[in-house]
Amino acid sequence: MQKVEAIVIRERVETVIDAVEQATGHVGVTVVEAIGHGRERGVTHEYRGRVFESRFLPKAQLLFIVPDAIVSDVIGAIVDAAHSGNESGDGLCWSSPVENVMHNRTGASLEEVETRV
Amino acid sequence: MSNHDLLVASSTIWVVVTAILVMFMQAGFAFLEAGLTRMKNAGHIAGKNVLIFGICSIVYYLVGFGLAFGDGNGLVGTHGFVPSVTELTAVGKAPFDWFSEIPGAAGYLFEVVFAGVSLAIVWGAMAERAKLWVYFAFGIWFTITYSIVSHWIWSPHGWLFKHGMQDFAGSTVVHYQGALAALAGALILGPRIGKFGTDGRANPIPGHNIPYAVLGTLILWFGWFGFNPGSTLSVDFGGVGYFAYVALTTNIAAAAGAVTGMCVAWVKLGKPDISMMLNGALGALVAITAASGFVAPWAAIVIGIGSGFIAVFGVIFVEKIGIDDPIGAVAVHGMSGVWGTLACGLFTVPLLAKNLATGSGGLFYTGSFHQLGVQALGLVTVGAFTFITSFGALFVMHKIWGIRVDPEVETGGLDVHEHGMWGYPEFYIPVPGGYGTETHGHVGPSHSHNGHGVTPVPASTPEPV
Repeated sequence: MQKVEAIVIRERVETVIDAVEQATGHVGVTVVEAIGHGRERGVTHEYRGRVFESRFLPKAQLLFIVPDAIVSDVIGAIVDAAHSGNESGDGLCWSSPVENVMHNRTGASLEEVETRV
Repeated sequence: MSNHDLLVASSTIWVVVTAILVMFMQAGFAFLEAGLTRMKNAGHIAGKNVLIFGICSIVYYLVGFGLAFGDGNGLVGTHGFVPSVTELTAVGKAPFDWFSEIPGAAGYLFEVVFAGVSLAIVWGAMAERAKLWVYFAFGIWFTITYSIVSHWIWSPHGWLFKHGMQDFAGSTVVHYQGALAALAGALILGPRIGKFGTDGRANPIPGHNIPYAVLGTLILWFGWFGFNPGSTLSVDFGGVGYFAYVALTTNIAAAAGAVTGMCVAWVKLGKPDISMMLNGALGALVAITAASGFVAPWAAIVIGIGSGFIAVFGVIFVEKIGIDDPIGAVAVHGMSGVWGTLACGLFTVPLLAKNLATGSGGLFYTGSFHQLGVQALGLVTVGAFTFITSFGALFVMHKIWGIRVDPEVETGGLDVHEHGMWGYPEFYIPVPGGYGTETHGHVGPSHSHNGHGVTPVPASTPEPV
């Protein structure tokens, strides 16, 4: 199994999840409200005509656990859907192998559970 | 002081105090509307109540008060524009001789806050998607058309006044008119992004702060004790101290509306929805506005119960036909305004109509459809006039400049895109270390690139006010 993680802007969360389902049929995600910044180092705001900087921007971290076979499709769908057209801040996406993925309710491994369905 | 001076003094105190109560209803609208919409628009929606009351107050001083209450013909006032010091301080003198027991200034104050309320209603249905400049342009336009209709019904020269139309404090003039413009705006703007799914089914977009909406409703209820009882415009219209009775019918109707709204929602929707209870109370206040001086307490309860039903079924109906009305202005102010205006034709006590020298008794007492017909005539003509002028003006503005914000502005929120700030900054600008700490900010005046070399942000320095 593989863990696919993505940092995306919050407005795109549902778009990305839908895109993953459409492209690969994968259902199931964990969303963590996150803050952070990339090379742009945050953003400049103005308040009453004064400029101030905010290092962190609101983001969301999405977490998918998927079979090895569809990882590249999932990542492709995320990258495509997370792209906002803005100059920066669209986040990153990556995958890593994970072991012993267990299904809490049944106590079986996730692979078993999914093949049963 | 003579007895007449005492009458003028006490009437002026009463009218100015109630004008201030009604002005405070802007705070009620601010909290109600902000509470029932999303947090990304909270600053904009609360703040616009100050903006539109500002616009309305100026326009009403320049032309509105003259159009509405200046001497003139049956359709429009033609005197009293930009009223002078003499005209505003005189009591019962032309061009404002209608205000026989208060100075012209008290008349202006009391009437301008009503215009402000009517204008506040307009934006409820247009919330979360209209451009800011529309508030300026349509605010001026609506204040003028509002003034013309209030001349028809409230000025002694007005043609509907002469027919004996009963609208004690403005179910038609204030609420129905505001709702008509709101409906026009909602139709032209179209629904908010995501309000209706691809299959046409309505998605709920929950308000972000129900306690705000509750506070707003209570402030409006409070303000209504100025709205209706103050419309006596003196301490002895309808009898000395009659305004106390008007306050009683107002309160009793609102109470019935609140309880009915919650119960109807409980039965119809399966849950005792809090926002529907608020709509029930407000709808009842809207309906009793026309009838408050004319009906018996039992009728006030009936009117309130009717509004409780209208609030729930009206909101559902408006949504069903594909209109996105975030606050429920069309149902609460429009449908209940119609109900309250017609209720006069049903329940007006002949004695009270005689005391107030307006119209005649309702169907229930007299068996005559006369008063009901007059009320209906008023609703049809005002409906046609206000809807057409509002729809026309907004339609032209929309065709030429576009009155709806771009999709990315709507998605990101009006607070940041229109005003460059947020109602709740910390939600959108996360500051784990807090503002002005060493760990916050990274490109200040003495910007350094060495890792965490950050400087306190300029916003932390004391600011001249």
